[in-house]
Amino acid sequence: MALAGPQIGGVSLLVHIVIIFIAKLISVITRSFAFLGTAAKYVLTKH
Amino acid sequence: MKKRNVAVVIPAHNEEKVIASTLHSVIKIVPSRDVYVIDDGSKDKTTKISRKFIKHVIKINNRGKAYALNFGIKHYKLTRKYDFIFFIDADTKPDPSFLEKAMFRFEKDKRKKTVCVIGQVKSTGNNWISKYRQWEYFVSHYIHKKAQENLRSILVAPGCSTVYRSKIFNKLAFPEGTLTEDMDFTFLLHRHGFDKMIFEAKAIVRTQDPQTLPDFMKQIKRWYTGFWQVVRKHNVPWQGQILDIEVSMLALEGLYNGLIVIFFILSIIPLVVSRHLNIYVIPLSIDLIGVFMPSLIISSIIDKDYTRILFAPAFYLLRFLSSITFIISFFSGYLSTEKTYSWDSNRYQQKGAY
Repeated sequence: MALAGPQIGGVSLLVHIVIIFIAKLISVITRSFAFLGTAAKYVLTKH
Repeated sequence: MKKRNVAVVIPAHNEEKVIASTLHSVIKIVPSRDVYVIDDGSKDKTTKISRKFIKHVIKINNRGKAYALNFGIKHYKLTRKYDFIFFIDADTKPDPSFLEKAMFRFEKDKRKKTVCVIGQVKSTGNNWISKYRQWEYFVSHYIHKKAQENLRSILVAPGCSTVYRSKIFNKLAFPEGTLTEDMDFTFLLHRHGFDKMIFEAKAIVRTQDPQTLPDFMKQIKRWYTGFWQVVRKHNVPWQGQILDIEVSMLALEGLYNGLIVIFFILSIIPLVVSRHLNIYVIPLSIDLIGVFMPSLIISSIIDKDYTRILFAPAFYLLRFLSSITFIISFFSGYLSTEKTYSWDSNRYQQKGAY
């Protein structure tokens, strides 16, 4: 089953879009820190 | 016993028009020895047709879909033989890459906490009702489900597009007595703390949607009644989980949208008599301009189906009908304690089907 029709409304859409945005933001920040960590490790071990 | 990877379980009830086509698609993604059809008392040739394709077909007395699924899992000892079980409806076909995409998400989870991976449902039809359903699928998948996945509050793992880790069925079984056993089971998982469910948009199944308005009405009446039955059964919103907040928000939104329709109907007579806009058209205008049209346009662009926009007035009629049905279903689903067992069996033979 799919629930949607009447439950597609302004409030739930807005809330869910904000949640998706925050989740993406957290994911990007986490990945950036992981990348920086790897880069720092590389620099420290090579030099 | 060495476990095989994925079993495909197809519950069936009077599916002679579609079962061959489904099995033809399924045996392209798994060996036929791993496909199981549980025929729940069909009065047509479902069993006979299924046996032409696969070995594991069993016919039982008609007891409802949940019973059939539980019977199939136990009878074939699927939790001992397989790591994963993919449940699919008899009118639904998986894309060739479905399992590859779904299993990738299980493999990524090294801690093995993911209880199920949910695929994206698309419609096989091409008429106006199917196009409306595509819009619903778009919003419910790309926005609702994606956000719910992050909150660990996915409302429903659809019975036609979900792969489960098999060991879960050593602890739980599909609950009987409601019209939407898939939603009932999803809530049960949440209540037992199994809330890590993943939605994978690239794992696609294609299902039949109603082709006529009466069939559409019948289907949504069943879904919404099932929704209210499950809400009542799982004591929403009093269990303190994020699921409770999510369900409450969506239920209230649904009821509000139903009231908008009633407001609109109330507004017609004064509008015609006085020829002046009245207060009742405000919520409708906000819904139309702020929610419905933008989401319809975005879904048309992303799905590359621009004809969808042309059907907007007809879609809004379906949205009206859905919203009113949602309110009516509250009485038959939430306030009635009657247990129900039913199959959604409006099947259509497709042109060019196997």
